[in-house]
Amino acid sequence: MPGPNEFIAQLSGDLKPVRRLLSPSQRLGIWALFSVVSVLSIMFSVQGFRPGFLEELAKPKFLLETLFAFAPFLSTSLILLLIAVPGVRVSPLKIFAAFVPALIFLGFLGFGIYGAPSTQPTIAGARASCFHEILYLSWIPIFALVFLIRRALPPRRVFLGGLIGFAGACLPMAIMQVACMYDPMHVLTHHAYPVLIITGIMALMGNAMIHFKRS
Amino acid sequence: MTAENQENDWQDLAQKAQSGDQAAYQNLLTQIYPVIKKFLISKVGPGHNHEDITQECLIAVHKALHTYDPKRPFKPWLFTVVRYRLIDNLRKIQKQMAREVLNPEILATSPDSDTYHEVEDTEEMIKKALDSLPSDMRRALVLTKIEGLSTQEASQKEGITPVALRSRVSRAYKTLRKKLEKEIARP
Repeated sequence: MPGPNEFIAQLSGDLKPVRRLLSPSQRLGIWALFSVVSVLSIMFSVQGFRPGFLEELAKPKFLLETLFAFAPFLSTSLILLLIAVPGVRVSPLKIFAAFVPALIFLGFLGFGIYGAPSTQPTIAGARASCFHEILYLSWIPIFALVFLIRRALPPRRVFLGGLIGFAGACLPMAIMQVACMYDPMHVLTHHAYPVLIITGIMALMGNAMIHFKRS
Repeated sequence: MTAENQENDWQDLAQKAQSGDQAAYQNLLTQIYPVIKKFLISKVGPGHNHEDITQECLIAVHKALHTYDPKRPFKPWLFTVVRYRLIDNLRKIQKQMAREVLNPEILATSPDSDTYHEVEDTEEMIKKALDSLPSDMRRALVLTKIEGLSTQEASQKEGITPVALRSRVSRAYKTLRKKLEKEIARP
């Protein structure tokens, strides 16, 4: 084994200019744009969107509910991208705050189920298999996020895998707000539930995906 | 040099290193080398083979250099990289110890006595963590991994099923690892 000075000299001699990691917000922007465009275009080409969804979005309550449906995919992925940068302290409070939009969205659904939906429930636009679409399409943003995070230095934590799954699955779930039929119970059982499944799967295999070493 | 000056100096050197300045990089590594070594000694105790782990940490710094943001302080970044490397190193040693019987005499007669000293220092830390485990988990681990009993023999001794014993051993490992990671991660 070489002495410290010799080792340092070798390491310094190997140095080449590095391509610095973009800031978490820049990486978030790139990832969000890629994910939204790809998932949206696939979903639109499969079955299009619910007729009249633009008029529904003109209603403040439904617009707010839809915004809170989209927010978790951005807030949780930002937290992830921050955690993956060494030396950046992300407090448990900030991690919790990233989930608040999801909780508010669930609150809207709860109110809707018990008699005050954000917009008139309708079966118009019902998709053949929205549940499975969310399960399959979640993997596009998930793999993209894993690719981004691997370039940083993420810690080995089970919750990181689960968080990636949650962030990725929230996107197709949110798009279903305008792409599928609207009924709060249906949204809960067929749009929100797949997010839980994906989160669980990624909690089990996320760490292995993030830390997989190419031979 | 005050801590603030040192931090500013390292930030500046790291930024220059990122753009390929080898002299600045060499200067930076020379300055952080003793700091990393001191940190490692404080975590795993005095021993004879900190040079190896320190050099591994420098390699980790080298590989992770692109993740440093010059707008942020350098020291938190450095110590996070070093901690991750140390945890990875500890996992490797734990796996090694789980495969071998924890017998210092056997290790001391092995050709690589440096490995023995490294394991001895880590063993002290592991023994402390072991003593803090709940008694049923500790007994399960000691019977199977230290005294070398088979799962069947150990489960009979404890008066539980082999499945229950394996579950205790697994939980003991997980708890032990969490305690050790916490110990290492303490600033």
